[in-house]
Amino acid sequence: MKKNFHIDDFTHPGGQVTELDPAELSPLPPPYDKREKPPIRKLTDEQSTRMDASLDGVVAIGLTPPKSPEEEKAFIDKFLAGIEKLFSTDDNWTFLQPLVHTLEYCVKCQICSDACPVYVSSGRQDIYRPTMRPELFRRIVSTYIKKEHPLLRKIKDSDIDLNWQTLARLGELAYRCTLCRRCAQVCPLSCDNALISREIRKVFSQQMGIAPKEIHEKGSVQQLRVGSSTGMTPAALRNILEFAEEEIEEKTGRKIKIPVDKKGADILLIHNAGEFIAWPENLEAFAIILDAAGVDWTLSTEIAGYDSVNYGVWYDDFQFARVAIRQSQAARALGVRKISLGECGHAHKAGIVVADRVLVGDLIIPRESSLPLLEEIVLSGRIKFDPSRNHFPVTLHDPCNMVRLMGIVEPQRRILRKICPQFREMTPHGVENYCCGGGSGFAITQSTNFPDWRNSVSGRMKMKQILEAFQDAPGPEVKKYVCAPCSNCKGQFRDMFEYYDVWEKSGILYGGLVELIVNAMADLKKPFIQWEWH
Amino acid sequence: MPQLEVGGKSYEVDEDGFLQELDKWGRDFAQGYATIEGIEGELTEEHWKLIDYIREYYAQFGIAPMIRKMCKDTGFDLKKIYTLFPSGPAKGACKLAGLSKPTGCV
Amino acid sequence: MGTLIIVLTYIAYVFIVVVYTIKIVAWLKLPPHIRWDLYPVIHEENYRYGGSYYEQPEWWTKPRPRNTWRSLFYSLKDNFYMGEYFNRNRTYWLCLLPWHLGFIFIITFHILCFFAAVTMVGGLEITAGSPQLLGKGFYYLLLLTGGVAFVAGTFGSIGMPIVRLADRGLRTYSMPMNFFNYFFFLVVYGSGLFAWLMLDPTLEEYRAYWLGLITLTPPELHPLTVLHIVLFDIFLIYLPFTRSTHYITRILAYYFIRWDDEPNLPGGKMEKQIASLLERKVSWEGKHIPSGKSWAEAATESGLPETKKDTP
Repeated sequence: MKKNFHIDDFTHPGGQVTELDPAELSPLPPPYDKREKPPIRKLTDEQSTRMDASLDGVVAIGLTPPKSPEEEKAFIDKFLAGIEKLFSTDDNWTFLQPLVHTLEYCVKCQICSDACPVYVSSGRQDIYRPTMRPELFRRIVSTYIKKEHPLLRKIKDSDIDLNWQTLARLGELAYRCTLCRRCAQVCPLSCDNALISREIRKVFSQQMGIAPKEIHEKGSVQQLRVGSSTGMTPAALRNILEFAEEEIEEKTGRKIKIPVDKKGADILLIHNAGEFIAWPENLEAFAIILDAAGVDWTLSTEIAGYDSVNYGVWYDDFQFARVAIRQSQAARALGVRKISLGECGHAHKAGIVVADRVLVGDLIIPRESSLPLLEEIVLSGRIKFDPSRNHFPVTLHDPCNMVRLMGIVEPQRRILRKICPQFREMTPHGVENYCCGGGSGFAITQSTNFPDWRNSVSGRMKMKQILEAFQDAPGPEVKKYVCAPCSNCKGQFRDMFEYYDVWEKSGILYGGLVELIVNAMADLKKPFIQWEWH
Repeated sequence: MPQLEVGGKSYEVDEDGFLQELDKWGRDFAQGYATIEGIEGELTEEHWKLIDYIREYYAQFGIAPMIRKMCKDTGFDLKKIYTLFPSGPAKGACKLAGLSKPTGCV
Repeated sequence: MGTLIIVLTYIAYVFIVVVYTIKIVAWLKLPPHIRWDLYPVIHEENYRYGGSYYEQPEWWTKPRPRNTWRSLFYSLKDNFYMGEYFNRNRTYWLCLLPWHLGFIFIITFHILCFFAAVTMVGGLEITAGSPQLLGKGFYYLLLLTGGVAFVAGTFGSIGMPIVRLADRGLRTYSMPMNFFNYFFFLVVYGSGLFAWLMLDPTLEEYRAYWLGLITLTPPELHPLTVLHIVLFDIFLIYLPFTRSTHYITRILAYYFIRWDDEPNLPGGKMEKQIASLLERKVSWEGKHIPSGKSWAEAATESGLPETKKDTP
């Protein structure tokens, strides 16, 4: 039996709270049941002096230890001031109600633990329980914010002794939750422990200016400065689009001019910029479908107008609002009737749902998912399909943001049922799906040893689900396709599939939804999906 | 910031060994890094073709070229790129070309 | 003694109602938040698979039918059934449900006692052999609710500490206060169970007690019944200090957080509310946030570097 977690494990300076043992991780089906190939890399001695990895040996933020007791005290004081701001309507009206509800009404019944893929995959490590972060948070509030009487704290077991290392661990721990909100979904008391992860991230970002580089400095900041978190300028975008047009012509024989900055178009389509750089076949497929269906659409070259990502939804309300407003402004500048979002889950949730209560006046421009539009096109008969062209096993990954957090469940399925004769579901799926493991910014957190953790722990449950969905043809000789209508999830699949050698061992390719649609178009000379680009 | 010794010179790199200051790049950096990357011997003309292509694209557009475009413009297929740079186009070729690590959802 | 329990009972009821009301109002007065819905949303047409109105193209031009009765039934049902626990931790559920039924039934029992006493003032006889059907009905209903309350409550209060200690996760997250609560509630239910079984099998004394309460005449009761009533009054006063309001707030959280899918449409009430919240001043200290400015300012200008776009 495992030893019970004790709060001292967390607050005790020095040492590492949890050591992840590859042998304890939840089992994968063969041939992946052998011990992990590279276990999670250890930091080098030099890295250890600069970055704190005392939670689980993994680094997402990697805080540098303070140089003096004064520095440590200043850090703690500033952090506590941030926690206090979370409870102010001025500073946190955005999430005050759900935050207060979760803190006050969670009864710590642990029903959520087994719903959490990270906790289960890790071999049920106590630190990854969804209740862990709120527990630490509540203790900080009880001891330092409400300053409750020591006796009361004893009765409520709500004491904590803060030091720099505890906060460094808490900061890291906030980045071990993918914000998939499965825990919240099963909570009988409507508490949302995942939200606490986000609120802690907010204190680190909005108060301390601390966030993983990939998400803040190279992410949302770069997006607002250059136009895209990829660093892609409008000039680069045009260059890529020219290339895409050439590719479309080569693959389909069709000459399509991808519309850019077309004033007064009906639809402004915003892709995740990752498509332009890593998965051009996705934006090409969109162009082919919209062209064939005669839709009046355009792309934009405004700041954030050609990159639908909004990383703020993972860690910072201000960065979130800034990007959301920029995207609306881009649409307003073009005078389009509506915004349609390409295959990106968090951009869906951020742009269509969360942004809803940030936009006012003429910034309220109708925003929708492209999936219902695609469904309408595919089912309308405007384009002729030959489903036998997709005669290979296909399964569907549900991006959490699009499905559990937004309720878009069936359009993508109705499309697949029509054009993929070997479509099969994963278990569980739909709103009860498991995260790809790359949620809440994990897929883009590429530094140090974080990808090892992401591939072996947070993505593990999804890996297992995918393999099980294809258990009727497990070998590499049968080519199979995981349809993931989300850039972020695709990024995770790319890394995870490489980590486990999935193409060589199982012949599984990942890709978007539109690629399958175009692949099934009856009048194309050759297949659109190119398996050699696995 | 970590420092990396390449060919007797010290460079500022990120946690995964990507060069931080593009202007510090020189052909000796690429050659020196090749050893670290497990590429044996001198870099060949083909290596340089790819490195130069990447650097030129970056100079013009501020990002690394997409892999498909890289293949098309250089005439190398993906397999060839992996033979030249075992860590692949992004983690191998771009690193030797002195580009910083790709950002965003790519 | 009789006077004491009358005064104490009135204080206890007034106290619990006032404090609960304050807590609920405080909950409801929290500002509107950013949307954070979670599916399935039960009032939605396609709630069975968790679908939303976003599944339709141009959703803003379509009706968004809401089935409020269904969502109300769904949210209330779980107070008596606790389905997530049934499905996910059966042992825990076996103790948790009786424990909670104890609360529900003991409160229901007392409320029914009140109405019974009112009818008794009006001349109704409440006994097993009452000539009036209503009198008979009340008699058995009181016996049922009271009996279930005492038995289920006692069972739950014994079972809860056991399951909490037996499960590794639950044990880790237990606090001394949990065990104090289990013990205290055991004493409350146990004293009631004992008085019922040993002294007052028809629960007649509670009718006398409630008759005394509404006619303000101190009743003559057995000391053990008095003990239970005093404990029950203390229990009522203590409840607001626990998380017990979750009976209500969990439902509020369904409606105001999980299922809050009301879109912000131009010219609506919500737009005005948001516009006023955007005027609030922020004090976050991160370098990228202009502390002292409003949300609207922080979100449109910024503490950001140049945001000029280069020429295409």
